[in-house]
Amino acid sequence: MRYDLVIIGAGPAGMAAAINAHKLGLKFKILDEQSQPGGQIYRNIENNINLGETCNQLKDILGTDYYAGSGLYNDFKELPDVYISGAVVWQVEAGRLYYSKAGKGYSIQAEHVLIANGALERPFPILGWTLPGVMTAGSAQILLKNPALAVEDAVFAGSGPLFYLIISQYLKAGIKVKAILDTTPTINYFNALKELFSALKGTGYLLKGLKLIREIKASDTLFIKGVNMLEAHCGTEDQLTAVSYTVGNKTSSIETRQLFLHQGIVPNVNLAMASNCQHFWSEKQLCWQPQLDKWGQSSQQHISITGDGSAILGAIGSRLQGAIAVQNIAVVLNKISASQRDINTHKLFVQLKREQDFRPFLDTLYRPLDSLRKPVHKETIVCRCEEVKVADVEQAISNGCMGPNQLKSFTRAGMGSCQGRQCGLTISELTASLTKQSVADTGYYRIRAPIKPVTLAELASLHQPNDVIDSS
Amino acid sequence: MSFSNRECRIAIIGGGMLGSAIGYGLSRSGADIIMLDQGDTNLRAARGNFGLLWVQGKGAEFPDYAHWTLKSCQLWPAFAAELLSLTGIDVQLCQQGGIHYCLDEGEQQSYNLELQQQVAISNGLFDFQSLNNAQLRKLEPNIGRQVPGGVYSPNDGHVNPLYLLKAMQSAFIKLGGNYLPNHDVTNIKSCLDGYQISSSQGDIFCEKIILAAGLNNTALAKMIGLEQPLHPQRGQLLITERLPKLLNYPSIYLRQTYEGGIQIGDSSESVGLDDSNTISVMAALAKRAIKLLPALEHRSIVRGWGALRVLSPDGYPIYQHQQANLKKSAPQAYALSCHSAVTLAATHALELAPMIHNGQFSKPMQSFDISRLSTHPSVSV
Amino acid sequence: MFKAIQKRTSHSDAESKPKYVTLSIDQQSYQIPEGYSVTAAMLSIGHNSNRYSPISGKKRGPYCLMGVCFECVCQIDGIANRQGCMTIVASGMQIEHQQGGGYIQEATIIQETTIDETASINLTLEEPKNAL
Repeated sequence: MRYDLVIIGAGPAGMAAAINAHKLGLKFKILDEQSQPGGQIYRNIENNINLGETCNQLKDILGTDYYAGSGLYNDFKELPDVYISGAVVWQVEAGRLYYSKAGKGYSIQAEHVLIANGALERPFPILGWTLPGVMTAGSAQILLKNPALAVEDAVFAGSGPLFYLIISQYLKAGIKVKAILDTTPTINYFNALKELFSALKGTGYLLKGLKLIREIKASDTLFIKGVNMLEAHCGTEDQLTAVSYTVGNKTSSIETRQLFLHQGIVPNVNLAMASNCQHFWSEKQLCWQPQLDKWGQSSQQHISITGDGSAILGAIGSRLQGAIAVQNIAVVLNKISASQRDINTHKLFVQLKREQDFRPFLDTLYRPLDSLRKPVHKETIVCRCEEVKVADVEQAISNGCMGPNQLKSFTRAGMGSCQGRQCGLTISELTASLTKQSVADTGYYRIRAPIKPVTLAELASLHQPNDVIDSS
Repeated sequence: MSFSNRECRIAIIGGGMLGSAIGYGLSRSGADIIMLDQGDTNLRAARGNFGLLWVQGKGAEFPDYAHWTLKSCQLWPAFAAELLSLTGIDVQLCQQGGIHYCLDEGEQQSYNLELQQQVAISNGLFDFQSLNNAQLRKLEPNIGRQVPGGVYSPNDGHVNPLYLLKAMQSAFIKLGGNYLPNHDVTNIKSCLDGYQISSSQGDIFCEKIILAAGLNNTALAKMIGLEQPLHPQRGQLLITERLPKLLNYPSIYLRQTYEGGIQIGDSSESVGLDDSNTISVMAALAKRAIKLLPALEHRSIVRGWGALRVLSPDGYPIYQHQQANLKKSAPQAYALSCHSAVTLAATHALELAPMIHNGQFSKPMQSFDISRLSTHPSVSV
Repeated sequence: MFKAIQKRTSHSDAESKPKYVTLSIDQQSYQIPEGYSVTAAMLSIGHNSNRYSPISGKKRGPYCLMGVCFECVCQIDGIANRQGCMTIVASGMQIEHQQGGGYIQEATIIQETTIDETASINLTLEEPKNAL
């Protein structure tokens, strides 16, 4: 059976794409590596809607933006027989893709693939960030949504819209937060003023954000601004015991056994890169993004990319993009005409522009500090999986290493299970600085399939009788 | 004529496994050398090696090659020790022997005959032992019971190929060599007293030139009147997550690295300059790996990759030496290529490089010249 | 230690009281609410680590909770390198801290001793009693 379309990812972009694909009568499936739809932002929304009486209290904690996903989810739930959960896609070829589910390998044929696999957190390499007790702020939010776990007396360090959101969710749930260490560079506030025009395009967001921050400040939680250095310490234990931070030239320390870090999110590019989609370095968002036209069509004819996996735009923007992408795919598949697509998407583009216009303000305001993206302390681990430090990177470069791939060969950075997701950006930026090249010229790891680990049994199960190993 | 940018005595085009070995070998004698390398994402055989130091099955039909390979394996311990003391890099040399798994009876028989021939021409330096399944499992307790048999040879071994490259480049730089990455060579011009190289980052003039650019050698050699008929052959590999120690010996199908991951190979395809990895081959490799090592069944592959072997028409190295005229100071050009530059790294660095330094190939080396291919069906030399 | 938010679990309606599964973590038995991921389960009992690094031997714990960091891997039902954050708890599940690359129950793990070279070449071997 050859499908018109396979959608990868069931966050806002994926769900919106699926709803549209159904409306357009496409033959499609949507594959999700999670056990339930929602992606990251609407995680566990199915259960959290169904929680009955406690729903209101949870609603207060998680906020209206979270529950705004319930409409989308309810529409998605109605779609007949398209959703495959627990499906980990690890390779996309022209006309076919491969995934694992419950220990078995599967292949599925599709004319077109829409990658909607979202974003992940920007690496936050500080000294001690691999200690037990140090986690991302996103993980705090995930645990809050499912299964409603939280930890008292944590320190939150970082910057960005999600950073303030999770802190406010913790405070609303009555959880004590030990301290907030805000790493938003002071200069960003001045630079962001220049983006006033952009800011005013998203007045709703702006007011929401200001309200959030006001509530946090009013909560009497220790709130330190202008933090420019962080270190996680373990003393004589094998886990986090304290966090030290610097404001200006003054260093202080806070005792804690839990640290949540966050400095923004970036597109999850592994699948798109392994599928040979062209990417470019965005200096504005400090990340790699796929080359796309306005519809989400990538440099590979059979692949479109949408949502936060293409560029960071947030939940509303992702929903709009998901819908737009599918309208265009329908044209590519000769299901509707280009002019019909243009009619269908006209309003969506208007709404999308509003979301996009607000981004420059956010990108400027929350642009992370250089020293927190390119660690200065030589003992800082850059590649978590293989424990490769800044010192190792510097030594390799002084021995002639000129790019991330040679660096990978010589230091093992990027060879671990995460395949560069936690170190790739740091390595690209650090290498660029040290070799005095632009990040664009420096490049990124060569990402290859399988983009998630696959067992030999799962791989072997895809073997066809006439597959040959030696054909030359 | 203007010679802008740089001048040097020796220029090596190519910083891969072969070029780096020659570069290191030459730098040991203090020569003034530049090594030009391409950029970070170019096709490189030297990032796709399996890491074997392999003797068995080599050169039964080509005695000089068998001897050359054996020589290299003998030189390897001293070579590795040298690199370690110079650079502090441990290339993880292990020469305890290797196993070839025979996947059917027919293969075992014909392979045995071939190896007997190899013994006959190796003057007692090469040895092997044919094994049935039970004997195999004495050496390798985790080998599957469905594997008919194999061959053990004490001459074989393995090494970390990436660290080898790193160590050779490091040593080259340490001994005064100039390593120039991101230099794509676009033209080479023969001059009266040397060669002018045009690259993406400027011109370089050298008195002696060595082409060690893998598949790029074909085009580069033509520029200076040399022949390097080479074609790509793709091999795909898989690497597992870190595993506890399951294998004692390397083979061409499975090699457990020092870090614990198991590398799975070996495939061969003619697909031109395409180094991508494909499901059909990966699935076949996985199936074979499970048959060989059942414990792998529920363990995961973390990455797959493909690389292009540098193959001559008969599969043996081509070492070509050209001297412009009979004057001792005449410009000299070398074009070198092979597909087993990991095995041969020791002998490339410690024997071939000195020959190049002295401007004279030994007699056995001359059998690797391009002229041997004049009777080969696919070559028009 | 990660604890359940008071408001969610103090619900009086018997129907929506969470059900529990019995499982073991490092050979100790625990009752964990259904639907928890393995990582959430470990965090909820105060374990903020799940493995020992194969490189430094140091304790490592979960980081991203969304399947992209691979820090949360542990040995689950005898199989190593399973992501705790992507695995839902089940009755009878056996969860263990993973040492380095973990263990493989069905294999012979080779100890790091030097190979006896003479034994390997001089192969006048007897067939094992249970050979094929």
